[in-house]
Amino acid sequence: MLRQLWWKLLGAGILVIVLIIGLGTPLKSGILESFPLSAAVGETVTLDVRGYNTHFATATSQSAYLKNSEQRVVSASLIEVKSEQDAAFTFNLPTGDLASRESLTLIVNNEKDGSIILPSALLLKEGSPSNQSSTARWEPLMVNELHRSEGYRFPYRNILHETIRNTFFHVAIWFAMFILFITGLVNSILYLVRRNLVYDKIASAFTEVGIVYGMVGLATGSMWAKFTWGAWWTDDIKLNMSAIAILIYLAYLILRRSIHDIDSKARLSAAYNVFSFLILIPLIFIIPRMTDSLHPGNGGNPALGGEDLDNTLRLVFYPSIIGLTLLGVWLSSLSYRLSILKDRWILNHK
Amino acid sequence: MLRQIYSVFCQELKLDFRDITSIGSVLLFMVGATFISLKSFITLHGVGWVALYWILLLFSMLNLVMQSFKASRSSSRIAQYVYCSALSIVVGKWCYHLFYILFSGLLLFLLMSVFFGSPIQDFSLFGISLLLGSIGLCTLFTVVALITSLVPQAHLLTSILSLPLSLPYVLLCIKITIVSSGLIADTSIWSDITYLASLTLFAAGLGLLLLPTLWKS
Repeated sequence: MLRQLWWKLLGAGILVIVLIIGLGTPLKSGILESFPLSAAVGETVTLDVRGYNTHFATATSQSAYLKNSEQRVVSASLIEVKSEQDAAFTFNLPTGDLASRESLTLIVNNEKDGSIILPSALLLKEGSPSNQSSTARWEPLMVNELHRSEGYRFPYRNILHETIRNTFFHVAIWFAMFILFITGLVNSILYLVRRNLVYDKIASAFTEVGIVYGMVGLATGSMWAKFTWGAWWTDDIKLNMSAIAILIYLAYLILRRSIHDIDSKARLSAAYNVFSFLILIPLIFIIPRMTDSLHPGNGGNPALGGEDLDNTLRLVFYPSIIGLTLLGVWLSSLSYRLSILKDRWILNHK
Repeated sequence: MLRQIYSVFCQELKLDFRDITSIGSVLLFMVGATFISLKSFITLHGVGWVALYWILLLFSMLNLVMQSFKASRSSSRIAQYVYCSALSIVVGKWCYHLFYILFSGLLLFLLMSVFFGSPIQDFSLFGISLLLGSIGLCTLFTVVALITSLVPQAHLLTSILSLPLSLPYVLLCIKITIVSSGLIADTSIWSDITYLASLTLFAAGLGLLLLPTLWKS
């Protein structure tokens, strides 16, 4: 089956589709920023809002709300649309016995973009007594007035913005790397049990490609970190642990190249592969869980859940894992065949 | 079995005292390295002290284990291999390494305390970190030395293979030692300790599992 063409074409095809859909699908609308950042109770405040992928000008029914922590809202009294991306919303903030210094969530709602929100848009401060004459009141939010966005679009997340597409490459390549490493591990164990050199060659081919995948994973992660956390490399535990893991596997490559006797090479590298994989499990799965990390899934962030990986993303993310794995198997099979050719060449020229 | 292990242990000890070079080189390494760091850092407290301590200890351990398995290839110990099983040789060597490492760890602690003063406040916690760290690193290095002992350039290869593998151990040890010096308060330090212990058990179990496939000379 490994010699057949269909799964290679399938893997490449899936990756092409992932690239096209993953990079081509627009994001949902969102709010980039609003100004001013704070206002006093009872004041009339005009928020200058800058949207992302929004259709303020073409939408016909526009409404905006500020929501407090008790799920009650005040709606905008005046809406001034400047362009598709820019609008100004004027709110009469109610007085009332709100706890001071509450942050309000801005909700903008129209039929083109659906309802888009900006958490902590406005900080509510205590006002001066002269402002205490506002007639506005907090009202319950009418949920059925809110529109839903339609069509196939990726979620808009603050901070992440367009980089959410990196999920298909950065996260998927770690999954694919693990599949390759596990295949290598299984073949190493098979070699130790059956002492057939074929298993050793397969194990080394898969592990080599796994190392390449790990490096690509580090590189894509580094780029992602630059655009969301602000630095190419941070002191995040997962980064350091995966770098160590890659170092351990690089030592595997050095070990293989420093032994010339084929049998002892196979035996020692298989033993080392089993050993390094078992060290790898705590490195990647246990230690990072014990400390806080900037990654999702640590320190209270949801991993692969909620808005970070919704169904629109899953539709591309899972095929991406399959495609990258198939590509990895293809590369490994090439590496395996190359090693066989090398052996044959050595035999013929002795 | 126990008697075999004990005899291997005694044999190693005797050989090392008969030929003083290996003990002497480790001692010289420690004193020299401590003195160089004294001259270059001048003063050293807290985290720097702990990090330097573990780095120096790591390299002296590496030195020791590499020498031990290299020496075992020489023909002077053929008799040992005839009379003892592979397991007892390895366990005996492991015990000897552990003894040696604990000894050198205490010695290094004394040296650094004399030169820099000691930041350690909770000595029982420091003792635990030294003991567990020594056991873990000793196990790891013994397994790696076992893997590489058959290779021509074993010296080079052992350090290349074991340094990345030893990183999780050393990081945990440094963390526990820092806590023991009172620089950071950590209520969940026991989870780190159990983690270090289980990592060691991991390595030991795997070493035992792989022993029959590696021991063929």
